[in-house]
Amino acid sequence: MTHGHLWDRLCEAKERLEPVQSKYRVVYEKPDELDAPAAIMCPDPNWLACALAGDILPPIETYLRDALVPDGEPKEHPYAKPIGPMTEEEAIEYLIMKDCPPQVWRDYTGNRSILKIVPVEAIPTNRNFRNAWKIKQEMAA
Amino acid sequence: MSTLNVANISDDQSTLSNSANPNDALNNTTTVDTKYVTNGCAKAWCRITETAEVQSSLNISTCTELGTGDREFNFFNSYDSTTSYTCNISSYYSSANATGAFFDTVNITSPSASSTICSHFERGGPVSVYMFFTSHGDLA
Repeated sequence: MTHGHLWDRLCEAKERLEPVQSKYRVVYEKPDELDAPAAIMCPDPNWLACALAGDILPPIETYLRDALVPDGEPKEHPYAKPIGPMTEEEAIEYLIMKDCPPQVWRDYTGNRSILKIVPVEAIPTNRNFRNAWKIKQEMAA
Repeated sequence: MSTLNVANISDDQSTLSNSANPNDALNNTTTVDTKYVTNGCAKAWCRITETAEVQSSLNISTCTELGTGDREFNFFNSYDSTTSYTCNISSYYSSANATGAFFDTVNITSPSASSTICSHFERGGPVSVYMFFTSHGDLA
């Protein structure tokens, strides 16, 4: 196996690649937690550098399969063959599937907007009343 | 990149203090397997701002601001199991003249050992502050 363990690749990449701050944030609401505020997901700069460089991240399917593996059983993603480079937009989609709950991006069938990818500037810097933040529902004309 | 292949690391016995505990196993050890070093190092760490922006990190894919004071750290490379890793956080308090109790909590909730949630409280409620997170354990 020539690609080695994911841990080795990410440690090597941290030495080699400059971190990249994303210009996007992911805002989501869990449909089964109606009173919870909107969550804001921030990509890690080192992770994003790896995604843009390629040959470091495992396929997203391996993370999804590993989420179903019983606790303590061997996982697939650290040993999977890495995938090629992505654009930043593709990397954000990858992160949504990896780190957002599936009931947000895959299983939700309602008609409210519970997931949005927004530019950093769209997130208010003032965190007053943070626990009351919700995603604005835009009505069709 | 160069690779240094070393099976054992030897310590310098002359630097040991005379007052060192003679019952300490490591005190009488002249060499230690490098696995002690590689397995014992932090497998993930992260420094985030009060708005959960990642400033520097290792083995983190995202940090999610779940609400005031609540932060979720998602790992790039998951741990072996939910019982094979530990997490610690420390944090700034929100102002220099703040009073009352300060405490942080860590809650390992992910069934796939791929994330953990940390919270910061002061004066009876959650507060968003700078956080410094480290985690040790066995990777998947």
